[in-house]
Amino acid sequence: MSSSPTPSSSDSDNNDNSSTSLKRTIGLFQASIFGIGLILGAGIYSVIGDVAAIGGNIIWISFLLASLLALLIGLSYAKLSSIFPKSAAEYFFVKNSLGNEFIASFIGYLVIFVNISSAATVAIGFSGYMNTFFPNIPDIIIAILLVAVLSFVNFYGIAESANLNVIFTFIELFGLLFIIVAAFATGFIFKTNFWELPMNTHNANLNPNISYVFGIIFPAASLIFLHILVLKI
Amino acid sequence: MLVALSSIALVGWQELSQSSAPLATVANKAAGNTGTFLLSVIGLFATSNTVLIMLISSSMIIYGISKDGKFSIPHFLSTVHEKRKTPWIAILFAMVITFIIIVFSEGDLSIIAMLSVFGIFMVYIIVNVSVIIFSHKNSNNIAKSLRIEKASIISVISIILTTILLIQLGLETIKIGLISISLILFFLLLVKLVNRSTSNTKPRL
Repeated sequence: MSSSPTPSSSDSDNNDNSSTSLKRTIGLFQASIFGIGLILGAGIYSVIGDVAAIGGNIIWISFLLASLLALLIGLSYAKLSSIFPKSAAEYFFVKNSLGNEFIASFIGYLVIFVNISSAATVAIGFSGYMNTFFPNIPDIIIAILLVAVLSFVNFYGIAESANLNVIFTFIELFGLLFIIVAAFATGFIFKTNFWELPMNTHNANLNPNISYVFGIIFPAASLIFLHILVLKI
Repeated sequence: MLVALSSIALVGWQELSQSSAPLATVANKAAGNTGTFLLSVIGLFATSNTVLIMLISSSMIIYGISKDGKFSIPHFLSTVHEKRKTPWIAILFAMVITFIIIVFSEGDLSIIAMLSVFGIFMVYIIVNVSVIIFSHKNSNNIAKSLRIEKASIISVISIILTTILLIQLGLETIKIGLISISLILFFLLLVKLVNRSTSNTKPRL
């Protein structure tokens, strides 16, 4: 997991909690949940609709493709994280392998931009869910309140943040399990055509051929990637 | 993927694509209003969880670069709070930037979202190129170079896959993405030059 506050190997030899270094209090369990929380996270709760609009019933192939890419990137990151266990992983990977601080800083800026804009995007997604309960409060206000509260949690301590993350991730898992169980319990999963494609008039393509199918699988996968990994693995 | 299969099975893609809270719609089909309520509440937890993770990683990255870098992020951003042991200025900074993005986008983040996918694809490509370069630099003995060979193949495959997905973003996004990247590079160059000229007059701490 790229930028999770990596505890790993340097844990034992890095216990000097001087005032200038961060506290290392996260265990392997919390660090793993940090990653799982992201993958199962808000992405699937919001993106699946947009993906379905592009991909129709074959979006499961797009999900498969996005996971494959996630796995591959996970593998190369795993190799690198085992070598440089620090915060700002990408920055250090690039700095150490290319020996160039300029390119490394560029990557660092990009990653910070991606993370912060994801925080903003998902905070608006939170407002969407909140709207069903409090339809009168503007989205922007809710999003800003959320970011302020969570920034305080972040400030309060990494151990507290990690514990909150563990609890929230289990709640998410429960929601996804609920959907899966429901699909099997109602029996819908056995009588669905999982190859049905969306046919739109723009395409004027009534006989789906290979290139048409690829033309919807890849954009859909791209979108999944956006939300599920945007986010970093 | 199981969730995707199950959701399609329950409501079909047409209905799924029209919902603003898709999984809540799915739950509604399965368990009525209780289902909608349940999934909406879980959606709240899921989204706040992701926001929390993003805020933590942003502040950690700002902290890390600021502590290590020579010019790109000022050193005061890596200040750690005495009591809480967290990088509080970096946390504050991340919060303010998030506010700015939320307010300026007026709640419509589709462009920002597309730009961040573009950004993350660029990051993956450059990181994978670094893996390949790093592996070749460190190939001393045969056993090691065999392992390195494997790592490089994985990197090459991910670069190809990432590029395919990058192209899917469409010409418009790629154009805006490239312009933004040029702006970032230009800014960084400026910071470097300013820093060099100031460090000529007084030694860096």
